[in-house]
Amino acid sequence: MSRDRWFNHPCEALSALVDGELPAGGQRAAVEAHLGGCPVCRVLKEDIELLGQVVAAETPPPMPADLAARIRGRIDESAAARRAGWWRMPWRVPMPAAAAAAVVVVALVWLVSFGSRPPDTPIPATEVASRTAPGTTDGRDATGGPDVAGGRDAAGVPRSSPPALAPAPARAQPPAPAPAPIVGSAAAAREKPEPKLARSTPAGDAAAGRSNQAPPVVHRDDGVRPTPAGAIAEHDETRLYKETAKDTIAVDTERDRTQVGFLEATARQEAPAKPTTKASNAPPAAAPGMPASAGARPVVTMSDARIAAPPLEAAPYMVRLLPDGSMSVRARDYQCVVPIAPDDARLLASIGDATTAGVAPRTRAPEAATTGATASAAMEEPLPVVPSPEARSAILRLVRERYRAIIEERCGPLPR
Amino acid sequence: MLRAMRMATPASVRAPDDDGTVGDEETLVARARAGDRDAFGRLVETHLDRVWTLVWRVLRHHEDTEDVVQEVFFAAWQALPRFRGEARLSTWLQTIAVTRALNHRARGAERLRQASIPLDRLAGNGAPWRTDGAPGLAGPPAAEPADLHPAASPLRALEAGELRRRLALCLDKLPAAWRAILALRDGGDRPYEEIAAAVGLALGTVRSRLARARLALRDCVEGTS
Repeated sequence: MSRDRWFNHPCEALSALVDGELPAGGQRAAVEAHLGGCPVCRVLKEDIELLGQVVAAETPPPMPADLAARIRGRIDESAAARRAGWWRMPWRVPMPAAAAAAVVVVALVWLVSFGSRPPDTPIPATEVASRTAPGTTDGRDATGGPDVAGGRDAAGVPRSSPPALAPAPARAQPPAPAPAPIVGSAAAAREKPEPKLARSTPAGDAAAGRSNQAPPVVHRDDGVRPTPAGAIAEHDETRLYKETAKDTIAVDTERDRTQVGFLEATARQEAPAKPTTKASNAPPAAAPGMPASAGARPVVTMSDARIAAPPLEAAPYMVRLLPDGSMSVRARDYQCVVPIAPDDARLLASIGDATTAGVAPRTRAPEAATTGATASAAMEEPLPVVPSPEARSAILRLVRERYRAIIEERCGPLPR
Repeated sequence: MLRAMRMATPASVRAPDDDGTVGDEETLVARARAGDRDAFGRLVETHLDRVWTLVWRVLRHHEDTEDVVQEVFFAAWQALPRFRGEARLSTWLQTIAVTRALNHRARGAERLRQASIPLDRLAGNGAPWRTDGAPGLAGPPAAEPADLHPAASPLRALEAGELRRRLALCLDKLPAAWRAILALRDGGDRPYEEIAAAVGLALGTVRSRLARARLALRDCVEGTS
C-alpha cells in the first residue's frame, strides 16, 4: 500500500462513504467534491465496493450437521457435572454423617488390621525365617511402623549389627560381637536340636561357614520377602518355629529373665492367673474386644528378643514394643503384654526412633560375655531410653487409658 | 446484487414452543435464563448459522471454527444469567464470537506469523503468499500499480472466479483483527458503532482500521505493493 496514496487521498473517508458512515456535512461534501476530480479515488471507491460485495458473497464451508447437538451435549454435560458437584461439595455433607463415616472407616481399618492378621495368631512359619533372619532389626516393621525401612540407625547401619560400644557409659561393656545370623543358628539347631538352638556361637557359625557380617536386611511385610542365602526350606522352618517356640519359653536362668524382660511378660501373659515369671506354653485368653483368634497369640521367640525395640521409660512403667506388634508393660513386679493397634505400635516405634535417633544403640551386654561364657548367649537387650515428656504422656495414655481395661483383664490391676 | 446476499439481522426470532405456541426470542431467552436448556437449544439453532459464518470469516479454518463456535454458545449459556437484554441477543452473541475467535487465534502461532510479516509485503516482493506453507499457492501475478493507471482497476479485469480465489488468499493473509472488522462490516453489514462495541475499539479506530484493511486487501488482490 502506498503511503502517499493514504495521505494524498481521503481513503478512510472513502471507505466510510461507501459504508454510509460518513455523516452528512462538510466532510462528506468535501469527499464527494474530491471524487469528482480524482480518478484514483473513484477507482478506489469502486474497488472497495466490489471487494465488499465479494467478501459478503464468500460462503463459509458448511458446518457439521451435528454441531448443534454437540453444543447441546456439552451444555447437558455441564449441567450434570454441576449437579454432581453439589453432592461433592464437602460443606454440603452434614457433619454427623461425615463423623459417622469417619468412625466406620476407622472401625473397618481396625477390624481389617486385626482380622487379617490378628496379633495373637500364630506367626506363619514362612515368616519365621524373615523374623529370625540376620539383619532384621527390632521388628517394629511387623506393624508397618516407621522402622519398616529396615531398622537402620541414623547412619543407615542395620541395628542388628550394632557397632562396638563406646567405653564411656557406666554400663559400657567390651565390644559385643556382631550378632550371629539367626537363620544360621536355626540351621544348626536343625542339625542338633538342642534347647538353646536359637543362640549361636561364632565358632559354630564359623564352622558352619557362616559369616558374622550381617546379610542384607530382611523386612517383614506382606510382600515378597527376600530370603537370605542359605535360608532353610519352609517345612524346616515350620519345625524350627515349633522347636524355637518351645525352647524360647524355657528360660530357666535368672540371667535370661533379667536380660530378656519381655519374655517374662510373655510367660506371665501365658499364665495370667499366676503372675509369675514361670513360663508355659498355654496361649493366653483373648483380650476383651479383640477377635476370638487373639487367644492364639504367638510365642515370642528369643530371636525376637534380639530384635526388640528398646524399652521406653515412662515412669512408673517400662513400655516396650514387641516384635509382634504387642506392647509389654512393666512396673516393678508387674508385667503384662497386650496386643495393640497398628497405629499405636507405630506410635511406640516412632517414639523409640525419635528417642534413639542419632544415638548409638545402647545394649546391655550379656553376662555371658563378661563371665567368659560362650558367645552363644550373646543376647543383647537395649537399655531403656527416656522419651520426651510429650512422648511419655502419650505412652501413659496408652497404658492407663487406651489399653488399661485389656491390661487389667489379663494381668490384674495396673499399678499407679 | 451481492450485497443483498448479506445476512440480515432479524429483529426478533420467533420459534415454536414445545407446546406448539409461538414465542419470540425474548421468551426463549427468559426461559433459557431460568435454566431451560431446550429453550436455549432453540436459540442455538436460530443463531448458529450466523455465528458459524462470523467465526469462520475471522479464523478461516474449519476445525478451529468448530471449536470456537461451541465455545461461543457454551460461554453464552454460562453467561446468560448476566445477559440483561439491553442489546439484541444476536449482537451479544456476535461480541462473544469475535472475542472468542480472536482469542483463539491469539493463542496460536498464527498471530506471531502474521505480525512478523509487514502488511506491505502481503502481495509480491518475495513474501510468502500463505503463512500456512500450503504448497502450490504462488502469489497472484504482479500487476502494474493502480496508482499509475487510475482509470482502470485490475480488479475489474479479473474473472469472477479468479477474483474470489485471490480474495480468499488475501483474506487468509490479513490479520485476524482486521478480518473481524471486515467480517462484521462487509459480511454482516453491521454499523460502525456495533462493530466498535464488538471488537472493543473506539469508533474512529474502527473506521481507520476498516479503511486500511480494505486498501490492503485491494492491493493484495491486485498484486501490487
